[in-house]
Amino acid sequence: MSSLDLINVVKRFGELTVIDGVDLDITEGEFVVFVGPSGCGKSTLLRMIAGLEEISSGELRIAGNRMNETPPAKRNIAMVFQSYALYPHMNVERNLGFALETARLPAAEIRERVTKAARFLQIDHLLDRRPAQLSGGQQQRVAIGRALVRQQKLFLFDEPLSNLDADLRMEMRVEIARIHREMKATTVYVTHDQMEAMTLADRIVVLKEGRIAQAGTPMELYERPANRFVASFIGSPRMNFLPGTLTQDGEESVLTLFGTPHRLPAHDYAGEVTVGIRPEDLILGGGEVTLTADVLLVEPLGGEALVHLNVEDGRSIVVKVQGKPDIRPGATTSVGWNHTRANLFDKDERALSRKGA
Amino acid sequence: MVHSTTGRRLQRIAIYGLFAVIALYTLFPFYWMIASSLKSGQAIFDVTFLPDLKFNNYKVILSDGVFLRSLLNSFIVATSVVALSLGLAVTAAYALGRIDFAGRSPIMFLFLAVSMFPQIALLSGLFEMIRWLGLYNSLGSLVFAYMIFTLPFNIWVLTTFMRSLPRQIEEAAIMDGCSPLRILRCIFLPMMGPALISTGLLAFIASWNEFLFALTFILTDENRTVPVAIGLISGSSRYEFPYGAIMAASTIVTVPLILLALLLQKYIVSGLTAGAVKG
Repeated sequence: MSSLDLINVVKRFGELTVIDGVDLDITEGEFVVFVGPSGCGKSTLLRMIAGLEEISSGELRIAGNRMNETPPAKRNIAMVFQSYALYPHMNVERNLGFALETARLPAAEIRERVTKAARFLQIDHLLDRRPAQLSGGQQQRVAIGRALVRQQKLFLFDEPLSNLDADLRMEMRVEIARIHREMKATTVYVTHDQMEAMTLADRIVVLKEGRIAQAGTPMELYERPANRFVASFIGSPRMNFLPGTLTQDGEESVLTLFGTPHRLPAHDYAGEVTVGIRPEDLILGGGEVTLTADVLLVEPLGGEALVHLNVEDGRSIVVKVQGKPDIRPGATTSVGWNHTRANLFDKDERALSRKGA
Repeated sequence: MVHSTTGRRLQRIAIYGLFAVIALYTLFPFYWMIASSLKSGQAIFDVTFLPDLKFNNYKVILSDGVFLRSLLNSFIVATSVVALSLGLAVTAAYALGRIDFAGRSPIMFLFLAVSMFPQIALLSGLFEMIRWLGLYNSLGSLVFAYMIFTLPFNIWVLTTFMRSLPRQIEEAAIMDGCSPLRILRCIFLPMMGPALISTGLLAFIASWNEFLFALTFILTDENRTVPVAIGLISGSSRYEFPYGAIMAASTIVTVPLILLALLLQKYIVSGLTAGAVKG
C-alpha cells in the first residue's frame, strides 16, 4: 500500500493548460474516484500519475517519494485501460504473466501468481484462450488480472467499465469493489459515470476544466455540493435549479421565487441566487416552500416514479416519488420542499451556507 | 420477373466471360512458357498448344553449373535483402509511427521521393558508390542496391501498419516494464506478422527478378543472379538460340515465387489492407 500526493500539479500541451494546479492527498488504501465530464482532465491526471504523461510543473509523490522523473514501470503502479489493451497474440496465461516475465521472475513463481489471480477473478478456465475468443466481461477480468499479478501498491483504472453493457457493468463494479476490499491497495479510478463514482469511492474528486471542483466522500458531495457544477453532476436525475433573489430582513432572509417571497433562516448574502433541490427532496402537495405547477408527464419506474412538472415561467422540474403517484398529466398541483433540503448558490455558482452553519 | 432473371443470367455470363478473358491474358504467357519448355529441338517452332512432355531442356539447364550457381546467388541476395530491409524497416517504422519528433513527415516524404527515381537514373551514381565501397562484382553490391527500392516501400507500409496498432497496448507494455526494444520484439513484431510477410515477400520478388543492377554490377559468371544468367544463356553457335533451355530456366525460376505466394496468400491480403481499417 502506498500514499499518493499531488502538489500543485500542472499539465500544459503547448499553450493549452489541461490540468491547472491540482492538490490532492490520497491516503494508503483509499479508493479515490476522479469524475467529471469529458475534457475535464481526469484521464490526463491519471496518466500523469502513471507516468504516461509528463508533469509540466508541480510534484507527484508516491509513498512520500518524488516520482516526476521516475519511469512508469518503476513507480510500483498497475493500470487497467479502458480498451483493456490485452496483447492479442498471447493467450490469457501469458497476458497475465507478461509483466512478471519481463521482470524475469522464476517461471514457477509466475505460474503460481497467475493461477492465483486467475482463480480470484474466476478466469482460471480461460487460461489457454486468446483475447479475441473472450467476451467483453472476460477481457475486462483478464485486464484486471494483469494488474493484480504484479502485486503493486497502487492501482489505476482508466474508465474500465465504459465498454461494457449495463448488466456487466454492474457485475464488474461489484467485482472491483470486492477486489479493493480484499487487496486494500490504494486505488485511483477514473470515470464519467457519477453512479460508479458514488458506489465505489471512499472519496470522489470532481474535476472541471483541469481543476478540482470538489473533493469529498460521496455523501458529502451529495448533501453539501460546494458549487452548482458539483450539484448538477452528482445525483440522478439531476438536481432541479430555479432562479431567485435573496434579500435580508432583520434576522431572516427572504427568498423571492417567481415574485413570491419565502422566509428562510438567515444567510450572509443578498442578491441573485439559484435554488437547487434534488428530485427526491421535492414533495408533491407539501413542503415549507411551495409552488404551483402543471403536471407534464409521469414516468413510472416500478418502485418509484418521476413526475415532470411545469412551474411558473415555463421552467420544468422533476420530482421523484415513491410508489405510483395518483396524478395525471394536465392536472395542477403544488410542489414544495423543506428549507434544510434546499441548496442556494450565489451568482458565481458557489454554495451559500446558512449563518452560523 | 422473367426479364429480371434473364437479365441476371446475362449479367452472370458477362462476368464469367470477362473473367475468362482476364485469365487468358494473364495466364497464357505462363502456359506458353511451360509448354515450350517441355518441347524439344525443332518442335518448339511448331505452333501446338499441347506440350510434348519432353524433359530434355530441363536436363540441359540443370546440368549447367553456371545456372545452378546463379540460382543459389539469387537466393542469397533475395533472402539477405528481405532480412536486412525488414530489420531496418521495422525499427524505422517504430520511430516514425510511434515516436513524436521534429521532421517526421519530411522524412516520410523523402522516402517516397527516393523511390520515385527510375532505376536507370540511379545507375551511374550507384555504380560509383559500389566501386568506392569495394563491392563491385560481389553479391553485396546487389544487396546494397536492392535496398534502395525495397526499403522505402517497406518503411512506408510498416509505418502505416504500426500507426494502426492501438496505442493503449503499447502503454500497457510500458506499464508492464517493457523497454522499447522489448515492446518491439514481444508485442509489435508478432502483431505485425501479416504486414511483415507481405512486405518481405514483395521485397523477395523484386530482388529475385531484378535485371538492370544485376547486369551492371556483376562481371563474372560465378556471381551472377538468375535473371541475368537466363539472359546470357546462348546456344552452341551464334546461329542457334536455345529457346527451349531459356523457357525451362524461366519455369524453374518462377516456381519458387509461385509456391511462396500461394503459401503466404492469406497473409498478403490481410497485411496490405490491415492499415486501412481501424482495428
